[in-house]
Amino acid sequence: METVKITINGQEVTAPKGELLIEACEMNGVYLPRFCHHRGLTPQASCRMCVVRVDNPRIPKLQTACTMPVTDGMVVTTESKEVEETRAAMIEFLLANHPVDCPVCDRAGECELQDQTYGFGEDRIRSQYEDKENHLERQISPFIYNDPQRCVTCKRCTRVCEEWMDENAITVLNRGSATVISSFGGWVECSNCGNCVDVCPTGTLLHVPYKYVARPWDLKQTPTVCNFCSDGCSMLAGIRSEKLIRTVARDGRGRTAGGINHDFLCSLGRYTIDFVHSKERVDRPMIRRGENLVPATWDEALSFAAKRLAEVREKSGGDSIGVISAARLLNEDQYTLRRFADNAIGTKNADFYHDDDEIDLASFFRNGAPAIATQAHLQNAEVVLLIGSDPNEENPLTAFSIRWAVRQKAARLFIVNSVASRLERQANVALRVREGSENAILAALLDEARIGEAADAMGADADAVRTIRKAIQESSRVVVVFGDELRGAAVEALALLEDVLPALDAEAADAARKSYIDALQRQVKSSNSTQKPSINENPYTYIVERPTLEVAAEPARYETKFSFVPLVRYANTMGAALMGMAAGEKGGKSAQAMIQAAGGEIKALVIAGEDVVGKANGHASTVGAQLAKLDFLAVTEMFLTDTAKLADVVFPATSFAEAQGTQINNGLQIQFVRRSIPPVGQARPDWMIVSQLARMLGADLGFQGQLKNVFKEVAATVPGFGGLSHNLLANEGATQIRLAAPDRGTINAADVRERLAGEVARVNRSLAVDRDEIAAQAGSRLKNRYPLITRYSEMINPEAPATEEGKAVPTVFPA
Amino acid sequence: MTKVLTNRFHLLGGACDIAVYEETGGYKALPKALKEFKPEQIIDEVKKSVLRGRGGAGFATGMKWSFVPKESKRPKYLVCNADESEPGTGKDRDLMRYDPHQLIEGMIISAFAIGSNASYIYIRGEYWYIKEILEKAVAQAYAKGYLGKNILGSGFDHDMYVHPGAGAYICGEETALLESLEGKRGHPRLKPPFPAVVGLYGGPTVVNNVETLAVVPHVILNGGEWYKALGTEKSGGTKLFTVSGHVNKPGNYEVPMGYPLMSLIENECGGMRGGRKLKACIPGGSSVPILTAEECGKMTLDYESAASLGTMLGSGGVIVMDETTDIFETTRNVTHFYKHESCGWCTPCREGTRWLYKVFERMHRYEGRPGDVELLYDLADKILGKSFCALGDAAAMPVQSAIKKFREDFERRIKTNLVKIQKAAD
Repeated sequence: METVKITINGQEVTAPKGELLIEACEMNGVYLPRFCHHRGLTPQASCRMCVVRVDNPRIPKLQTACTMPVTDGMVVTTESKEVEETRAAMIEFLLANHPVDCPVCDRAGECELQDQTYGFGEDRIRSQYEDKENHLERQISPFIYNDPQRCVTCKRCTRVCEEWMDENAITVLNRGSATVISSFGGWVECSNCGNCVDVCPTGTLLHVPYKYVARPWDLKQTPTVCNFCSDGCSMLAGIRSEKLIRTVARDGRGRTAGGINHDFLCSLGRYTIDFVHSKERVDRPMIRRGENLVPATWDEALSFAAKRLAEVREKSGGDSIGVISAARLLNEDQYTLRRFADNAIGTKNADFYHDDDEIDLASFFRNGAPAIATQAHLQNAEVVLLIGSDPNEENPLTAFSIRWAVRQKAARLFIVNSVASRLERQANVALRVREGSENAILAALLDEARIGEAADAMGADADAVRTIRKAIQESSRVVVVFGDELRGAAVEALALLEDVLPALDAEAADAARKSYIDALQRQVKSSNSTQKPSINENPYTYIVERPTLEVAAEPARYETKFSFVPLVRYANTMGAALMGMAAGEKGGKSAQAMIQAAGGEIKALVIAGEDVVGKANGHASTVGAQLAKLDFLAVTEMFLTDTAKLADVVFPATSFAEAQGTQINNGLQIQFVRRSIPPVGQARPDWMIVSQLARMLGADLGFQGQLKNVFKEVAATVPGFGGLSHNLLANEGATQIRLAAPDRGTINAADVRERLAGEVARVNRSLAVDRDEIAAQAGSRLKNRYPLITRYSEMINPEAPATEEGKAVPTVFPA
Repeated sequence: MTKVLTNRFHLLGGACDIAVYEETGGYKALPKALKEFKPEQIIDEVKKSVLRGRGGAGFATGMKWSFVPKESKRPKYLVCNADESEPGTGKDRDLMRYDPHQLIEGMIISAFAIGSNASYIYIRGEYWYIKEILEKAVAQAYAKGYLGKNILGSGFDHDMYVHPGAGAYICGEETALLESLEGKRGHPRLKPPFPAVVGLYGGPTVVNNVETLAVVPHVILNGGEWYKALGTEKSGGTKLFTVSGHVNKPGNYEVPMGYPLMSLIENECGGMRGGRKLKACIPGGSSVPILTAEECGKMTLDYESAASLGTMLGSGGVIVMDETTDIFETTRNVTHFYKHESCGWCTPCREGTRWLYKVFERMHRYEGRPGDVELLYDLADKILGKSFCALGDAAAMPVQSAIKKFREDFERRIKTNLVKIQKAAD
């Protein structure tokens, strides 16, 4: 990294070139107070706290350090009478109308206004004779509370809302001293990510679930990893009296969990933690006695389960027992379950539960692992191609990274999707294709001659497809983000892209990139007579040389031109697959097949942490009936789910907050999940339950009740995990697993292409149906999967008016 | 005295018609500029004229134009700042309603000089009736071929738009004006980059005051040296002053630079109303430091003299106050204005003006406390030079100068002092 020499308070230090002065000072141990400055946001320079005297180049006025890029030979004074007086004056101004109700404010203790008043303010008050202008506090969303009088108008919240989330839900109202943070209509319609609350330096915005619950100094904060989607955000779990109170990415004191997400967290990670201390948790083992599940001791339950499993094994053989795990369980759980199936039971039927809406990882990894992109790679990509899925709803951090790449790094975004997505606003080309035809884009990318055919299948404009192919061809860093819509041959074909569209030589790639940025800067979007840019305009069109706002600590290295982000559905799907909890490795049945075969080939099931009945959506009763046919069903669960209710024995399992272990995200990064609270009730982690069960069955898995031993074995036996340990991961943070790259020799390219062509042709054949009806159906898939979280899709693409009654909707693509 | 800008004012709006304007010598400079001058020559001519921005800051116009890069990826723009909201100033109103074509001609020439194909007149929302006058004038200019494609066969294209503001003082600040013109909230922008590099819609932009642009045709017709000779060495030409307050004939007067302030009051304005004594005068609109009567005697109307007396020529709004005026009350009024018009972007201006006004309100009720005058002075000091844009300075300077020069008016508002004064009177 290029560095420059600057002088701070007479001391010569070095700083990265182009870095903001405020950050350069902090790197060198000089903290400048700030409210409006935030590393991930555009400079604002409104709070005037970070003013410094710049002596070289000589500038007559005090300057804000948050807007000054450092230059070589800069001489700065941050500690002098005038600077200190100015800071103190700004604090005094801010406190003049502040309610100073710290004793009842939830932010007190981690409030930046408090801290900076202590650090940089005066010890006297001069505004006591003036009346304060009051504002009423109010709740502006189910999760966000607003007390406008505490506001210092730093506008971090509105910038976060616009720049990180692209929601523009909160904004500034009124002018001058009447300025308040609010929204149009007074109620915030947004995804409730809560990032605005986290970045708020004062108690203006507060989390509703955290209101009047704890004081920050009472919280023990443990860095841990979110368990809700495959992005794997780090977060700080705030614990008070052994209870999980809140999770934040960054607290008011600037302490972060330091993960791949930096200060970002979404509504799932932040506001869905109340289940941990739910009254409905299963807090002790239960055994079926007749109709009822009755509480039992651990010994009773374990020996009961072991006895019954041994009976089934004796009667029908080991393969009549199936083991199903939840993809959210940690690596150690998955590995122990695999060992349990192999060594304790002796069955080949072990699988993590997934429906047909999970990415076809087996195909993806068939010939070795193509390069997997982490969030840092994604943020620095030149071209992002999104196929299927809607990261905004399913993987918010990925969506954030894509937006970051487009807004800050002038990346080109192309979307091929059958459902509406808010990301389309940032896209250069957004193809809304027919449901089920996403595979065709791969056919078009692999073979220019097939573009016409593929475009027909997708119902898209062939020129748009050509634009996408050309842009990918002339870029040197392409990240393909794909969802489960890509299937079979298309997933295998991803590995061929590197050969078909090879990287240009460095000069040509540079030239192409320059000409794109040049075009971007020339671009003036016009509407009516005056030429007005849209609200979501790429700031790159205005200024290129912005001070660094790099989220990634160091620039990501790209080893290949193409890298991929498989948007798997669950927090540890990747881990489950790598730990061998995937059917097919030993010729066993998949989870779905096991349920199908219940009562037939399968006589008993051990289901770890998955509600297979509840997840079956439309055919829950069928799955329920299948499970009822089993001779024996053991379930480890947190709640008495529909599946657990059918079980013969239920073991209480720990939640993510009580479990410890490792987890692998969609960037193939392994992260250490710390236990933040003791187990609720008598819950035990899944790996422990299973290894105890194994011991009862007469097989010692050899872990000696130590979690570390499980991971030691993983590191020793699973490829790619060599050299890793809990200690290392706890210190290193996210570490990418290195898997063997695809062996080009073994890929049967011709076969893949042929199958892909066949799929495109199949889609084309089934196109006899009216196109309008296909369009009307678009979006139904997402809605079926997530009935609750389709708000944005509906906003962008309101539901088509109901067709005439009684008219049957034709089946578009027969299964 | 040579009149440059106000030659057609006696027609009382007759010159709004393009035919009358052409008869009285209008649209002579435009063909001359397009045919005889190269863009750089126009800039040189304006530099020679020592024309300085008439909006308030007094920045050399030719210099400002030369900052615009010749080669630009994005379109260049010219913006006329007609958001005349400085209390005490009304010169642009008359320039636009009595002689709109003079402005339009000046804008076309200026746009040619900087190579811009589109210009905007950002006009104050309250001047809605002048917006109609300007729109008619622009339409007439289009009809005559002075605007549009290939103007007068020169190959130069230019389009002009009139855009009304929505009534915010801050939108007279050039970058806030650009934000407002783009349809956003009127907040000043971070500088650098300056508008000459990154301005309207990201393109290089020149923002000039109405009066500045209206001068340009005359500079082209008669030459920069001629215009410079009208005024002083460093402040060329003439300037319009809006005189208001306690004079017999308030109004807009065009005088050469370097004209004595007292002569303007005594001769042009017919002296003080009711023969009373002059107490104070604000020479350049409400935001500049106030002058005492003694200082007024020394003041000549040019930038150097203003600077030597610690004030500024500003936008040329001369507010004259006689001996019956309570300077505390006038300052309170000004502070209320700035509190109301602060955009709320930065801490010192938003919170400082509110606090200032609260203290003023208390003192207005004769509830001042000992130390309040010092508090006012100190608060103004903490705003001055620390705010994001010049609005904070504009709010602080009148307060500081008024306290310095008319402290007794402030001291009377302190409760304990009032008691003493009343006792003495008894």
